[in-house]
Amino acid sequence: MSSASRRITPISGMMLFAVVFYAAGYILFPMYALVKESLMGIGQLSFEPYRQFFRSSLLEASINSISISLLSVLGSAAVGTFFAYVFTFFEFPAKSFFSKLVLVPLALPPLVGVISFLFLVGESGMLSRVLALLSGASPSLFTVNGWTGIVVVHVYSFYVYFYLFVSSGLSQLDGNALDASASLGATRARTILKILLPMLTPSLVGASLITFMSSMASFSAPFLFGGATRYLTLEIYAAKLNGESSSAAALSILLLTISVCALFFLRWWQAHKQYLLSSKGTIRVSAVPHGKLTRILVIFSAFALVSLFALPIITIVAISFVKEGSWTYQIFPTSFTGKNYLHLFEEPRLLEPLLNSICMALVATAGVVCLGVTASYLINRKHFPGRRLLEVILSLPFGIPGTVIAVGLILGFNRPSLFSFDSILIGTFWIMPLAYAVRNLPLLYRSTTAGFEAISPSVYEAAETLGSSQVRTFRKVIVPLLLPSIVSGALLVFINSAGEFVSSILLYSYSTKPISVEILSQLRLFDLGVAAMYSTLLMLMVLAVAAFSNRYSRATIAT
Amino acid sequence: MRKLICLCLLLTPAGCSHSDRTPLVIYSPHGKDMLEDFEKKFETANPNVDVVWLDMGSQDAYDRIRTEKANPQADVWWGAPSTIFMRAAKEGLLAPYRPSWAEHVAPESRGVNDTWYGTFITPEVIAFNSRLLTNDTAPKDWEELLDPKWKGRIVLRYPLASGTLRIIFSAMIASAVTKYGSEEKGFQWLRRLDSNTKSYTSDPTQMYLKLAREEATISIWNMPDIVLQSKINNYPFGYNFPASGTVVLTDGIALVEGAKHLEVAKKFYEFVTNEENLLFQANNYYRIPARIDIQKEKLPAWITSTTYTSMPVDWDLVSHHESEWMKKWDEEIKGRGGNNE
Repeated sequence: MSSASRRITPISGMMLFAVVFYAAGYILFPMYALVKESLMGIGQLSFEPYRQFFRSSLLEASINSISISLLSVLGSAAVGTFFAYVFTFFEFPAKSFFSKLVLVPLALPPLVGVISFLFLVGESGMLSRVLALLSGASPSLFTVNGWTGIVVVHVYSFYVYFYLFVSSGLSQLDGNALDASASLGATRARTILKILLPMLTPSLVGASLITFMSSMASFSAPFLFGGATRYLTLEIYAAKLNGESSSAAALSILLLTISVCALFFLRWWQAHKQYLLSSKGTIRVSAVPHGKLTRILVIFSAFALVSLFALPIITIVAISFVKEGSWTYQIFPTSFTGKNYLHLFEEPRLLEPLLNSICMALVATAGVVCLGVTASYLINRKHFPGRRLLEVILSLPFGIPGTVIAVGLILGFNRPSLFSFDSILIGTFWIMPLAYAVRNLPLLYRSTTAGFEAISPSVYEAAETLGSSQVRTFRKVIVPLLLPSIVSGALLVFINSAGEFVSSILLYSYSTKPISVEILSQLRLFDLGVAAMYSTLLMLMVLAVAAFSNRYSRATIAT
Repeated sequence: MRKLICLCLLLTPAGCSHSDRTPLVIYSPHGKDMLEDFEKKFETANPNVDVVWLDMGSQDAYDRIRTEKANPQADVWWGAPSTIFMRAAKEGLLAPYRPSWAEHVAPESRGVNDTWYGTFITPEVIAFNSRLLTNDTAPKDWEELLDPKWKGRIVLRYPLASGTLRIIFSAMIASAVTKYGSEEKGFQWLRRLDSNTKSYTSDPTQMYLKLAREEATISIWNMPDIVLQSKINNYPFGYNFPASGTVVLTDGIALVEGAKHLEVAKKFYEFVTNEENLLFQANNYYRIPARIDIQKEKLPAWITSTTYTSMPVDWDLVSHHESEWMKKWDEEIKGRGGNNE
């Protein structure tokens, strides 16, 4: 690659300034406020909050968090990659419908997902009761809880990361390489193992990282499903509830450290496995040749899995029609009503939380797309000192529990500062999109970077050799090639923001109440039906957005 | 992409904002129905005020108000056990206000320097599923809960997040301190209760559900909520007052220090605690007024006919040690009984 194109120009210098300002002001500054709280929270310098690290209950919590997160990564990788593979390489009826269905677990805010699982496979869940009835055994045999419960919920919530990342990796894959491998006499298994998997490494690493960090930072699942299982995020929550904010801050820093270690490890590992393929001519996605029996088996198991994965969604939709208080010891709810939905039309005020969420998620997504693509471009295509450090800082927030991010933002922005342009952000509209952006930028950054890594440098070297300016290359070559990655990343950001709960609950004020907080309020208020109704609306919205972005990205590629 | 950016630039925060009436922000655990009633009632009386309430557990409300100390969002904090208010007052989170009825409450319903006042008296009960148990077969006292036959039959709200259970647990320890001079007897009771407890739920709803759906048969909770759930949702709930004396907590109201709409907040404070509205809350939401100047004849029969013994509790001791005790419970007792999920 020409070194000239990697140099920082005035334009890219300004871009770099924006990214550094963001990283310093909205990631490091709140974290600094957090560290300060952990050391100075009681008015003077004290390491007391760190002494609790030697407690046995905390060790147990750390081991649980790490092991459960690793299991969640393995499970999600298996399921997500399988789906991505099937939907890329196989043709079957209603494929596009199913490919959207696979995305839907994303739309269940973690809280709602967990609750639908409780209704399904909790001790008095429908599935547990039905299976118990059929087999004559006790329902507790079919109940998942504790470790299994948390892992199952995690896999369900996080396999989508693998599905999206691997799908976008596969869509940029050059089918010629696979054909070449096959015609050179490699078996299918060997082709998959030696060509497909290595080429997917960036996607797999990106998704593993996000899944691991999300699992470490997961709160709703261990909270509702874990029973007495100790988990780091729960320890933080307990400390905060108990009024020990310094101790909560210290625990957050521990959690952060573990996540950063994971980030470094995966980066190091990926650096040892770099594969780049340079393609000539157009990239062509072709089917890996499969036998008829394999085809049928694979498609059948995909159908079975998708249907199984649709159950929690069906549960939520069904519960949104259940009449309050009518479902107790029966296996299935008995009386249904459309009242929950009718209310929505009678009282437009009820729509407000949904509109708030859409509005704030859009603002956050726009910000994340601008900054994330810029950052990814600079880090992957430019040489400047501290490049890797900047990348680590930008990816950090994904390893930080939402609660901690929110507390950091509160500690950092409850007084005027340079980064809040001399105003107090707490209690305003802006703090929520800011929190969403900080939390989700790593998603877009990872998916865009995976896109960058899959593009051979020779593509824009060619553009530049042909006399195209850097800006023109960026707009006309890089962005179009990256578009699938950007769109899938932006989709994730929007969906995550629209359903975000953990930091919203700390940051919302009465005029910015988001839908997830409304769902929790309804649950607290015992209106399961209304909570399920809001969850259903949220899912429909995500489906609509997914359909839109699908069509949009396809249309752009075609032109 | 350009389209998306344009769309977002058009969406200014103004598009998401509200009316020009004076907003009055209430943090309260009292539930949607009661809060909606009083939102409407107060707005009818004061048309230029827009009452906005956020429903949350009392411990959550405390955490939030503490977090927002630098830029308070709430005006009125309506509902939390007295011990939480005591701590909040010590941390300077409450603005002093002396209501017109200040003379007419018991001394334990009055915060230091008028920082808070009691509104309701809430007795805690042993709740049970009435399809499976009757008042006779259900446990009738605290000690009976420890009977091995209830092993795996008790479901409790996760106590760290619940004002109600924190008070009950702390009261058990405090009364052990008063009775035996040491905390140990109290922790012993908690340890044995933990070994009988099947699970701790993250919110009251999950607890009601597990009880209603027969995953467990017994819980400990406050009387008004148990009665309300059985009336509103037809859940099969019954309750016993512990015979040796139950924990009775005082639920209060306070103004938030630094509140942005202090004058309207005072109006609201007086409004929800006037006699007419206390009676409305008693009749519709099973709240027992803390004010002692309300004539017996006006109170609903369910209050006057209910009798229970209350457990003497040193509330100062509780307020002082609650955090420490709950931390010890969380670290050393929770889930150590061996029967938890």
